[in-house]
Amino acid sequence: MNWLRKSLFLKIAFIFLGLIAGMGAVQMVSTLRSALRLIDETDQKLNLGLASDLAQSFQPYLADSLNYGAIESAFKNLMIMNPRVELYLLDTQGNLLAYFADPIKIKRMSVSIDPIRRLGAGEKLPILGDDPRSVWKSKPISAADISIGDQSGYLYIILGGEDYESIISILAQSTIVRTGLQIGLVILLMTGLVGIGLFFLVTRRLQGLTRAVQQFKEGRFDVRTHDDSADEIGELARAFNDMSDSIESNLEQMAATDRLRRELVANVSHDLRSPLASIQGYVETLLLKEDSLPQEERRQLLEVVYQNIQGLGKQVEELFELSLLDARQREPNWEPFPVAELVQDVVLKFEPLAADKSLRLVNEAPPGLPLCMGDIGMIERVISNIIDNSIKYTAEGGTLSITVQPVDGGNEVVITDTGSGISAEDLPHIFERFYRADKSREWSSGNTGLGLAIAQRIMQVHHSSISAQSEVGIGTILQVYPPHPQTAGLDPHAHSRGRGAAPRRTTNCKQTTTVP
Amino acid sequence: MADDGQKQILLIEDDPHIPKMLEIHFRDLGYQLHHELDGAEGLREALDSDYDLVILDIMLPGMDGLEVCRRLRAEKKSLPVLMLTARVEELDRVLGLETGADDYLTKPFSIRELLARIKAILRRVEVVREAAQNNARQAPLHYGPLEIDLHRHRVALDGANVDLTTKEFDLLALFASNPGRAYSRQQLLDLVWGYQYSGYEYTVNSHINRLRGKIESDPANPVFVETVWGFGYRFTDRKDFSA
Repeated sequence: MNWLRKSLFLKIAFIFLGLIAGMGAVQMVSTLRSALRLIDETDQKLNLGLASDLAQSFQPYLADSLNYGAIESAFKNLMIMNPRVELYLLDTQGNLLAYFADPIKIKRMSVSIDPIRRLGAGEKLPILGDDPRSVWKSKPISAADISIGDQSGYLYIILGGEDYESIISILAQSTIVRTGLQIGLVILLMTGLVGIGLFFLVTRRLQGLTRAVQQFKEGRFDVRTHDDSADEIGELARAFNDMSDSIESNLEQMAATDRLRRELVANVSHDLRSPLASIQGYVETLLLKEDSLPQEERRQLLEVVYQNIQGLGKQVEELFELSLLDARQREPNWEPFPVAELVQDVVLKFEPLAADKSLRLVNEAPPGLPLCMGDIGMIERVISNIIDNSIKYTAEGGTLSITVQPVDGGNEVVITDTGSGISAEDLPHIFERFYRADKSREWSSGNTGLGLAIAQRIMQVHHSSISAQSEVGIGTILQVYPPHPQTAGLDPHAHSRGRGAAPRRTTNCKQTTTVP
Repeated sequence: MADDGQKQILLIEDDPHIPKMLEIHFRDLGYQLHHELDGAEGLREALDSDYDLVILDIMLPGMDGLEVCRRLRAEKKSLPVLMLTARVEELDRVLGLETGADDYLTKPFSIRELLARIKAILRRVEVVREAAQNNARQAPLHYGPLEIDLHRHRVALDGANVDLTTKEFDLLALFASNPGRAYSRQQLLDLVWGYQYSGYEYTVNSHINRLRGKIESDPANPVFVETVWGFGYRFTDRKDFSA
């Protein structure tokens, strides 16, 4: 039976055929029963008056007492004339007083008189009465009052005697029943065939889907099903296709992430190796030439080593920061705060550095700005990294303007520099780690290439963004949107709502280029 | 504590290279360095002897540095503690301060920075000691609904006690003792925290922010701690708080 368990088609077909066969049987039995009932009813209707007719003709034999001999011969004559009639004489309790039959055939000596009463009351036909020739069978009857001497009793007639007892005999004798059953069988057969055909079609579609899933399992991620129907199986097929699409794109994304990670490792090892190489070289030189080096030269070597170590430390710290942000291990410590105040403090912090390069720092913020929501330390980091970057890429005598302004009920921090600008080709990459627009300027200039990447990741964990616009030779504008209290931290569902609440920001999330 | 003569500094640190290096620098400054390798031993030594400062590593055998610090705080309130750690996670930093450390540095650290921090802590201890002597004679300060008792370290708003952390109180005490005087963020950092190096400045913003949250009725429009645009912060010099 294993093959049955494995095939849905066979299972359905079996169940269906079983149902049809069962229904057929029920139909057949009920047809036969109603045919029998019809025969009984017809018989009874035709012979309803038989008992009273016979009672009249028998009454003379019963005038004084039970004249068995006369009655028997009368019964016998009657039953030879009409073999479908069996005659009995009953007393008022239903006990058999006389009958004409082989005594062996008589199985009970009393019958219920209730059917006789119902017949007398003219109830709906057929009315079946107990058959003395059987322990349990009932048959259509005819009955009439009769007096036996001074006693009253009944003449009890069982209609449709022995001959009609088997189904085959009914079939043999009733064309209507036979034809009806034949038509029923043909209909059942047709239904069975059509049903099985339909099940085959449906399960074949499922098999097609199964094949596709199996191929997918075996690694053929481009397999799709082609079932366009609008029904449930079509829906399943479309769901499978959608699922395949999203798995395929996730796999591609993972592959891309993996590639990026490999590049990152390559970059990291390069960026860490450079200062290490220089430290090793300088310290080795110091050890080898300890005595012969003049004091001044020794100091210079040590200065270089120290600078390299500081650069290395900064790099390690920033990489760590970035990986924490990437791994979502650093979540913002949300609190509402006045961002303009923070920006002012950051600008003041950078004033000495800007003064060294003769840069002018302009900080403007209108009064009455709303509070923003975020991690104070992280937002300071974002603004610091951007200002730091801008100072590096702005030539001496330039201007850096840091403005806080209201936007969409929140705040926008805009950092504009008069630096060299970023080409349209470079602009989309400035938030990538280790990206340096000026390839010749390595980390020794204090630029690890991670500052803007960190800034962007921080804004992402704040469910917000940074956008950049630039024109070569004119300068760069960076815009930061600290979240507002209604959309961030205070709301536990901030993860999903933070973005939706500021549609402009998400569209600006990608870097935009101002075409010159 | 030995105010005159050499400052006694206890270093609890399991890396033997660090005491060797520190000793060279401490010698020049006239500090005497004692060294313990084990946390529990270090705690016992710090409690038993008189030190001016404890430098404490977090990752220690015997007893965790944070635990040592907590116990020290419980038993010797005035002994300053500077924590060293290689674990740069923010949690550790915060824990270090909430455990009661006066300052902390992450490894690798610059010797110059460490020395500057030590000097700042020792100087601050002096200032606090003098201030405490002055505060003892000073009546509570009143600014409208705000009452600040410098001596008993208590702040009340409309008569109700306000729960402030130590740093929040220090900040408010500095502001309220000098109403109208503007401080830059760097100055506040130096005066209240003693940090002189970059990377921690936002702590000031956080504390001002939380302080405002506790004493201002509308933190977006502060009445007590005002912003001085283009410079920093100050405590209001208004006299009339009825409005």
